[in-house]
Amino acid sequence: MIPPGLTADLCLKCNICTASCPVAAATDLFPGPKAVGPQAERFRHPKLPSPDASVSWCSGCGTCTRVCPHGVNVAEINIVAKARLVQEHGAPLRDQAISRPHWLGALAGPFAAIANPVLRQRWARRAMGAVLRIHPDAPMPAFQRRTLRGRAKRHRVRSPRDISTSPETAVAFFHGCSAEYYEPGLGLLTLRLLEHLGLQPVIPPQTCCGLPLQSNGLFDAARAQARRNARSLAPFARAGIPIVGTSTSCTLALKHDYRAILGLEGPDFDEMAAGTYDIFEFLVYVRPDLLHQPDLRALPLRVLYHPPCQLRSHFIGTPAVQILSRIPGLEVVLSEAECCGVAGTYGLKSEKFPVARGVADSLLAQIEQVQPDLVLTDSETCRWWLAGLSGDRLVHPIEVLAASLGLVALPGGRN
Amino acid sequence: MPGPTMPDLVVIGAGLTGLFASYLAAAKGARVTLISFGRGGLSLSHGCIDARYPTAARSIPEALPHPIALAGADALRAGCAQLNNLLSAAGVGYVGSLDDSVETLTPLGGRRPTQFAPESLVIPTQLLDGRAAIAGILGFRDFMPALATRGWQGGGTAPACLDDLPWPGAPPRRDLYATDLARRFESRQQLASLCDLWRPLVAGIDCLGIPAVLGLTDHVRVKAELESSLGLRLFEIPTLPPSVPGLRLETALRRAALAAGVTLIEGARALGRLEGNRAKRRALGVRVETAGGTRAISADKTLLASGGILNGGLHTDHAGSVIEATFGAPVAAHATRAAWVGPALSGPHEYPHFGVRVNDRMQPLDAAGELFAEDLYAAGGLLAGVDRVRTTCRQGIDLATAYRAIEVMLA
Repeated sequence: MIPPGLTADLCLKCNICTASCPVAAATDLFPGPKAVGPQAERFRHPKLPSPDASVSWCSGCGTCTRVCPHGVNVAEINIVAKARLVQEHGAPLRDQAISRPHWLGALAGPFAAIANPVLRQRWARRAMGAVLRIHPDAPMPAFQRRTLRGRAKRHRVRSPRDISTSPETAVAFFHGCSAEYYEPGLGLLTLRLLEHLGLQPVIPPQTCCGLPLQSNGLFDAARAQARRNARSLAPFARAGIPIVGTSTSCTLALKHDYRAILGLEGPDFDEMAAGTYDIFEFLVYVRPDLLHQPDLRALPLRVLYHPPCQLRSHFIGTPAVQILSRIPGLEVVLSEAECCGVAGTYGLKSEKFPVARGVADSLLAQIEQVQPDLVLTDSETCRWWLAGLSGDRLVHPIEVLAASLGLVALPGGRN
Repeated sequence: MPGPTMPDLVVIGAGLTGLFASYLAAAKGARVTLISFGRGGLSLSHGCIDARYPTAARSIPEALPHPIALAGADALRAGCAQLNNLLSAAGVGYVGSLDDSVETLTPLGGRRPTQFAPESLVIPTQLLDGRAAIAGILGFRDFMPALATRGWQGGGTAPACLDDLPWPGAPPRRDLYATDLARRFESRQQLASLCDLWRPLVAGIDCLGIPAVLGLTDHVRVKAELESSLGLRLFEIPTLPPSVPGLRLETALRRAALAAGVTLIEGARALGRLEGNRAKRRALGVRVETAGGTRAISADKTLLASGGILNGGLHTDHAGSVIEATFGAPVAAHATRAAWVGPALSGPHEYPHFGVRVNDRMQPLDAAGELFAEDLYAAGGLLAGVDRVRTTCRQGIDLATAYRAIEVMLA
């Protein structure tokens, strides 16, 4: 992979990225992706301090890279430049903490019965705001007492050799931190759905994808986790076992960020990237034979689907829409927002919250205007964020597919 | 739900041609996957539809047939009509006709004829009545009213050049882009205080030209409110990119295409025909480069709408070879690189003529004049037979050839 900085010279200054950037649209503190990216890159010398800190307003949503018609890796340039700032100035305790959702989940999970009610208290959030600078209004997920791995022991394998059935039916599930610590129910449902479709889902050894560390500029710690994942997951890819995830930002890290942003190289990373799929991408492009039209029950619902910015960076379109549009009676309205604003951990930070909230405005207005029965989005951080801001119940599109297959009751609608 | 007899289509490129073709095909019930490496170039466009096609053969100097001659005048008429229907349904408000022209003002003060233009860009008759002015906006460096008033070629007396009009509230912390201003104009609260601020500054003026920044989707309302509050006639003048009129056109087309059921894959580079394809005369869809790796998108028919030499559809090298960038279709071009450009910077040049030769079914031909691939079609800026820079029917070519291609592909 080309180091992102070397793509700066491809910039034609056409401003397509500037016109599409959701952060530049929300605040004039951010000069825009072209200005802090390919343009400012000329002033960044490896041996000299970063000339300007305005790139730190970039949320890392990746829109700029996706819309660039000339191959400039704008977002990647900016994420690397942000990490340089962290190297020079250090990361606050807050960023060290929120970039390790797996530690937080493992530490606080056993005390969920105490931690969750406390964290719902205004005084607790004010204290977190004062001490850690986590914005009191930023929605946060609830901890769960039991993890997915604890509840799905029979699916756990150490290597492809542990799989008894034919490799054609095996699927390796990358649950990420969210399904492991915060939404184990979603993970269990996904395993059930894959089994229902005739596959044998297994859970390989894995750790947090490292994306939150990367977004907070802690590249060395992120690389350590990336290497651990590559060591344990690459053998599955090599054995022809697809690695499937429901968290679109984790799967993007496996596919793209390890190589293109963290600069990791080697066959393990290439094979893991090529063998990793978003779950709907898997159902559309890898195994289109699994879903049969007669098995899909009608769902008379109007839903608004927001493809997370990080799903869009997979460059696979919106495969969830391709699947959901096959469900009789279901009307899918597409979100017109490039990003919901939170961009992982960006919106949690006190200084960034107002900007992230501004980015969310257009999507919240569309939800208000469409009045859907349900709002769907794949990424957990988008769901937590939008549920907190809108008061709606947010669901993963896989829950709607599972409902149409008769695996679960219809998720609850608007409040 | 696509009908059982409808083909699966892949369209490559999301500029005017690709978005319009995708919309047409999906609206007729085809399953369409639109693949776009980056966002299409409409944000670089003035947003007008130039479609003056010289019907007399002698006025077309190119040796190869003109794309509209191949697509047919009926396709031009039908394509323009379809686009206008789409735009009026979207509330974007275009005016004009194929048989006549309307005029917009260039940022340099010239009159520019076109066939269909956003109503807000058309020069009002009041402009030459003496109490007209052109103004920029403070903090916006991409428009200079003096360029238009000093270089005036619009006939009559040049309008007055006003000082840049201020924006209410704190000054911006960076240079504003046209898109920033457009979003600010759409805020009802800001618009009210802006009117109070501007009213004394434009007193006595009947007709005011300002940069084209009056909102990204809600500009018809914004313009009407400004006109009634300020008591004058307003019109917009195109600016440097990002061009708001171009973005309005893109938004309307994109919304219509997605609402018709088009699957848009943005960011993926199209690499070529499907692998393992023994039948060399078929593309069978396209391979694309995604974040994880190469994926195959199979299709019954594939439309190339990837643009001309300035837009990514053609690949050139330093040795002077020119080839179609995705499937490697041959390109009508000068083999010697020195012949690509003429002596004067402003042209004419040879390179804007380069393009793929197609038949009257919009199918690329090989060097021998045979079909390059049975299931491959091409439309828009990629086509040979016209100087893309100097033509008076650039968007007309895009619409006519897209219309014709989809007509044939769905037949």
